[in-house]
Amino acid sequence: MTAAQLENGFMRLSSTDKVHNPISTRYQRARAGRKGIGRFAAHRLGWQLIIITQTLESEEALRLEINWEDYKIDTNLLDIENSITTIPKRKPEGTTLIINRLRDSWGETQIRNVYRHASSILQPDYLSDRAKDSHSTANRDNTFKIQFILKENDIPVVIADENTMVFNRALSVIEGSVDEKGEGKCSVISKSLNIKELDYKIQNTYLFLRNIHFKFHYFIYDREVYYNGNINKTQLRGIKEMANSSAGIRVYRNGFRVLPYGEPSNDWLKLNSKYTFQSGVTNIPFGNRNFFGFVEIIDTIGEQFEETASREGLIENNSFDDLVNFLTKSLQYARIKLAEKVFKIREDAEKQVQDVNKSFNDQIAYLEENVSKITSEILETNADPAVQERVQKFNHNFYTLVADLKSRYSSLLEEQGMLRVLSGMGLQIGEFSHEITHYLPAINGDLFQLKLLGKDNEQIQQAVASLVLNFTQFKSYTSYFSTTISQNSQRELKPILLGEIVGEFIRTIKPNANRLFIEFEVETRGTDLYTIPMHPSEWSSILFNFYSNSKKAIKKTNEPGKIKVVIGKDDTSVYLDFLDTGIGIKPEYESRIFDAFFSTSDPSEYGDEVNNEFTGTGLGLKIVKDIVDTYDGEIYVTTPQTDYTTSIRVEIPAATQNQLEEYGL
Amino acid sequence: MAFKYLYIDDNNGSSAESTSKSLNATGEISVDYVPPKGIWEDEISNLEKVIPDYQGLLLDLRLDEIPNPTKLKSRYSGTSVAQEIRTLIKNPEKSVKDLPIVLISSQINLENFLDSTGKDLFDYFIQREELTIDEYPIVITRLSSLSKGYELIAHSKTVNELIGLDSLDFLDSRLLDVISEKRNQSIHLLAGFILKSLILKSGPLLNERVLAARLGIDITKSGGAWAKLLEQFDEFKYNGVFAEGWNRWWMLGVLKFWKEKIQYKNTPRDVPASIRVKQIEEKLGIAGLVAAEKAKYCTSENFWTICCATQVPIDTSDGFIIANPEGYYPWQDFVYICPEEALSQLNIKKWKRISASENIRLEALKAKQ
Repeated sequence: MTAAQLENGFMRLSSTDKVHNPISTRYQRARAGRKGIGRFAAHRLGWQLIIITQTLESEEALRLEINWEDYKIDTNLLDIENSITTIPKRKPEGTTLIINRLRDSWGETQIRNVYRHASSILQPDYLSDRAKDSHSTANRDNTFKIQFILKENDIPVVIADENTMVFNRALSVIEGSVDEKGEGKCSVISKSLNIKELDYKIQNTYLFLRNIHFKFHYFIYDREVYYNGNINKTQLRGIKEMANSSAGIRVYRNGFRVLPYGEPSNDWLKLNSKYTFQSGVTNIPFGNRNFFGFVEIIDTIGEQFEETASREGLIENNSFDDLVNFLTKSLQYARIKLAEKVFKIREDAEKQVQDVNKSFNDQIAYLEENVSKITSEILETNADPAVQERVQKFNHNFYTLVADLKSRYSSLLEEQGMLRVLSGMGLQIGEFSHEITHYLPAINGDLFQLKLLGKDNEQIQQAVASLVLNFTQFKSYTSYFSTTISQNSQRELKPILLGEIVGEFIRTIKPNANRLFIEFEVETRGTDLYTIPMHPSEWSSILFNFYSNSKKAIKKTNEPGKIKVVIGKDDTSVYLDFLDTGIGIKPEYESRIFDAFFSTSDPSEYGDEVNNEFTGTGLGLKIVKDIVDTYDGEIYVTTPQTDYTTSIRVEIPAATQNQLEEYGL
Repeated sequence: MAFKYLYIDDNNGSSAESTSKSLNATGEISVDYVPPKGIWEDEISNLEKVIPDYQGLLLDLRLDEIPNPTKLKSRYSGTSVAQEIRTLIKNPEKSVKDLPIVLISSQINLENFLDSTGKDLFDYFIQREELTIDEYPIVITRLSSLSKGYELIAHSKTVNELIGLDSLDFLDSRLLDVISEKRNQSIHLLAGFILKSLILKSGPLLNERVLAARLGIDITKSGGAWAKLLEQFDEFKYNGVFAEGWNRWWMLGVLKFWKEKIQYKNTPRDVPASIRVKQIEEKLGIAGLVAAEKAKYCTSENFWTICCATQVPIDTSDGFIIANPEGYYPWQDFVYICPEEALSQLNIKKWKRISASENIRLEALKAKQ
């Protein structure tokens, strides 16, 4: 500062210096701050302020000392002197502020916090080179570098910003700009994913948007495998934690941070709302937490972007809309590029699983080869009939065993494949039936209006009545799924009260059973029938599987049917019998109906579901058995009560007294 | 003139609009649907401004799920709005009038996001899933009745006017004490008390099923004959505050009816359902009434209440009292489940636990099985 600048800019109350001279002479930068708060801040921090300032041209430095305690109540302001003295130059140019006799005590944590805040206000130097040309403030160059040095016992310690160090570990850097002609380009670079897409044209000309630049550091958490060794699990977890407080897309206008963009709760690009629910679909999570992003706006005269009066963001004008549009499109572009590579990695991982399969076959082949070599050697060299016979016998047993292993292995593979299909379908059904529930009350309301509107028309009344009936049936299915899904949201295992679960099942399934003229009956033999801790939705699976099998078995009799559920208790287990009046199970199939893909040559057999039904995967009862096995339970066909043709029993160990107490039951 | 409700819901588009149109369909009430303002202060200051135009509020429980048309997503719930309105009413500087507040929500959200303190704020709950074609007219009538009831409470000068009785002599004096006390507090406290502690609980007032149980009648099997008998009870029908929304009959009416019209040597409590029905048929000449039958594991036919889970009529000596953590007022009847439900537990969600005092009886019943 020159003497005049020091006097006019700093020492004069209500100075209009910055209004008249908004651009600094030395760096051609927009000057920050117009309200004169800086003086108060200096006053607040310490009792004494010393300013030493010199310009390139000056031969000496100016020194101003202000002792705030001189400003006492009832003192005439004109009596207080703050004289400027000249002293030898300390450095070629620049100003030093020394605040002495601090009012507060300052620990390392406080200093670190101040540093973090101060450096977040300024545009980070890791952003772009363009800023340099436009003279906007940035702590990239020496002209505006923030450095905090803590001196303790005269040993200086530099306090650094740990944030900056993590960015080189990003999975990908997405960077782009709109130039002075309005052309928007975007680049996606990722070393670990081997992506280098440069200057993809997002839009030829933006009408309003000019001179912006952005750089987003992108992370996928918990998937260190994507980083190709560039990061380890712990480091990635550290970044994930850091993301909770400091991830997001920040905006810097002329070098200074604009709030609230990029604050933890701010979602100005609608990333969270748009992408949160897609995580399972593409495996490219695109929430705010995944980005450490910086948008730089260079707009020295403020013709594009203006901050709102309350300093709570930018006025959402045409330029702002353009900006959101540009960033959104750039992100979409980046997402496609990333998805392609990530998908490849996942595919490779799956291939590895297949390689394991291959190696199973290889190993078996290897085993066969060796065994055959050894046995033929023995047969050739040893003529003893006893040995010959034993070897022949061994050979026979060995090859039977191998054949059995092979077939078991291949059916396991088939089962695994089908289970994958089923679980995928389950997810989709879950999503679908959740969406549907939103419309139910509205549809009901429309039906009600329709009924009122057509109250004088017999035909409309009939149509409405039929619509209501059909809709009720339809709802019976969706409500079943909603129940199961709401149970799924609860992951905790707990002792299951058989009565409660059966009651709920019957209430949901009743409308469907009524339509098919199937009667339901429940018999309880005993109270407080608690299983060991299980998942409620597992019982939904068991009961619904039984029900759909019974339904089919009853349908094949061409008569209205009955279903009965009996629940009870033995010494150490609780049981549930599921009975129906369907076509029954042939004794020879009783033990096999729980096998995967069990089907008989006779298509009119219980449990047959392979051939004609869409839902028929041949896995229904197998899944039930898997659940029961998990809990050391038993499942088997029993002799039905009179009037019934089929009865299947599930036994599950009963909850112990300790377990019940543990769960407060 | 139709009562006006303001309906705030974040389920944008057709869903909420359709619900509000349907609630408007009969003309009994008129519902204005608006999305949440998104900003708490705006919401409340707007409500302060518009509440004089309305006689009721209908609030979605979760207002924070979907952004409004100006893309603002609110961070507050229907419960916090209701709480604020109830607080504003008490502020003498603000002239916000007391009005019914009704909650509309899905079952899952009600279970997961509403606690008992929240429940006290609302006069009535609508579960979205239960808004079926048959339920709409009932809900509409109840909303209208709530508004009418609030006005009646505000303008009534005596308890007689409020309860719709000429004489209060036969009412439990403790009930009258609480009513007098609440009248001095606020409209919604009195409204909530009458609705939740008198109308919705058996005691001085009975609902149709309990009334039928006390007369020994099987409603479904009796069909038209029951409707005919019910006409005889018109003079005992409750016609006080909220009567339009909830059909209730005075218990005293049952006794009076029995004494004056049936003139039998024993009170109905002392005779089995079959005799009650026979007497009614004979004395009134109504044919086709069918007596209710004993439910499984029951020993008495002197039905006096119903099972809260399965709705079957039972004698209190067969039923099991359920635990009621909120406690009973002295004028209220206990709530029971039938023995079959106590054993099977098929509807345990509705009753949760039986009262500890009934454990010995339940063990005895189990031992018999």
